[in-house]
Parts: sequence; C-alpha cells; structure tokens
Amino acid sequence: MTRVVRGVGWVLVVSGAVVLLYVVYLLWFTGLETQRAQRELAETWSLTVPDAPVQADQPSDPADEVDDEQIALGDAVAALWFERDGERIVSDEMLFVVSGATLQLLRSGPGHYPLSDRPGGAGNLAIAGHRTTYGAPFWAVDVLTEGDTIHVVDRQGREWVYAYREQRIVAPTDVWVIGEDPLGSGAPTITLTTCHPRGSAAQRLIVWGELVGDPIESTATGTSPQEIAGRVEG
Amino acid sequence: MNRDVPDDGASRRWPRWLRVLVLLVVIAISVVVLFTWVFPWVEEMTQDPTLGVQLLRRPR
Repeated sequence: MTRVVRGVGWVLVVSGAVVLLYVVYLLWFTGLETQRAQRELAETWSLTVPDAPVQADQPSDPADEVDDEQIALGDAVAALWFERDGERIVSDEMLFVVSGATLQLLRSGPGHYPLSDRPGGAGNLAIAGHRTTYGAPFWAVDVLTEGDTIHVVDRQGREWVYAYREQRIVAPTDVWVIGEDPLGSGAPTITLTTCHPRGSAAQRLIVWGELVGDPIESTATGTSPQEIAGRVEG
Repeated sequence: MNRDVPDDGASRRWPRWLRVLVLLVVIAISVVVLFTWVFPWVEEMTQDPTLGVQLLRRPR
C-alpha cells in the first residue's frame, strides 16, 4: 500500500513538473523561435522587395507583380506595423506576415488567410496573429483607437495605410468577421484576428481598419467566410 | 527492519534490469504521447488566433 501511495506521489510530482516546464516553454521560449523566423523573413524581404516604394494607388510594372499563388506557404507576403501620431505602437518591430495561418506557420509571425484579399485589394485582407506566446505580435493590438493607422507593405514595395475603425470580441465560430465586407461599409478592409482573453482561445479579438486611398483589384478567392476560415493552409 | 535483507516477497519482484527497462519504455511512450497529441491539443485549445476551426470540426 505504501509503495502504491509513493508511486502515485511520484507520478503527480513528475506530471506537475512537466506541466510547469511546458508553460515556461510556451511563455518564454517560443518567442525565440519567432524572433529567429522573423529575422530570416526580414533578410529574404530585403532581397526581394524593392527599397523604393511605388505609389500605393498606382499600378506597378506588371513584370514586378508577384502572383499570390506563387508565394509559398511560410514566405512573407507583407510587412505590417501600427502608428499613432507618427509613432510606432503595438509592436516596436516591423512584423513580417507569412502566407498561411496554421498554428505551425503562425510560429513564424502573423499569418495571412490565403483566400482573403491581398494588401491594398478592394476586398478584405485578413491576418491572424498570436496574442501570447510565439513573440505575441498582437499582444497589445487592443490599444488601437480612432485615429491610429495600420500600415502594410506588399511584395511590390507598395505601402498601404488602413485607418483603424473598430474592434470587437467574438466567438471562435464567428467566421463572418473575415468575410468580404465585414463592416458593411463597402470599403476595402483589413481584419486582424487574435486570441481573447490573453492566454486563452475561448474568444477572438477582432480589429478592423479601412483602406485610405484607392484600392487595387481584389485577388480574394474565398467565396464565403467559411471557406476563408477553413483554408488556413492555402 | 534491515532493508538489505530481502523479505519473502523479494524473490517475486522483477529483476532490476527489467524494472529499469519498463520505466524507460513508459517514459518514452509518455514523451511521444505528450509531443504528438497532448501539447498540440493544448496549444490549439489555448493559443489558436484563427477562426472557424471549431466550426469545421462540428458534426454536420
């Protein structure tokens, strides 16, 4: 009997230690993996994206256009940052957005829902990012308020500016938020999705912005929000 | 009681090498199960920032 109690005790102690180590790994060490991936994405980005940005609302040289279908999963599709009165907020670093939004791909940084629109497109550009763990790129995305801007640079070097519109907490099944026109305004939109509350995936925090300026042609291929939400692997 | 002196039940115990082997097998299986199913499941339950996964898994 004593041996059984001692055995159960050891099992509990070891289980507790494993859980503790896992939490420590999630909270502090996953960020290192993301940092390394973002550094690699930045190097590739600097080699492939033009330094001098072309006018955002002007069509670029068709020869420079990168077909979205050619962007491999995990490659950078855009660079993203947030500004308030010219100062960077939410993240000090520019965030490189990868193609695809699986949990595996999101370890490298924010991820683009493959069937949603491209940056500057006339539809809805949808991006998911971690609120905690893996560098927590969207940890402070809830600080955005009226007047703040969301900046997105595409692979042609065009910078697109989205004006912050609103944020909302929804259920994980509310896929309409990444549909073609979630705000019902008809304006080109950016949708950011992340976990809520921090450390839990019980709900989602959704942040919307609307494009400032004229959009380019939409390349969104998702015909419904359900389809966009379901094709996180491209 | 002197622990070095085996009691009557000691002869029925598994040999030491077998007990160590069983322990190693249990640890190996636990590690595989943790990293293959448990940790990914926990991560999906607590860290998934995307939408619709639950919707897609719902029985139609």
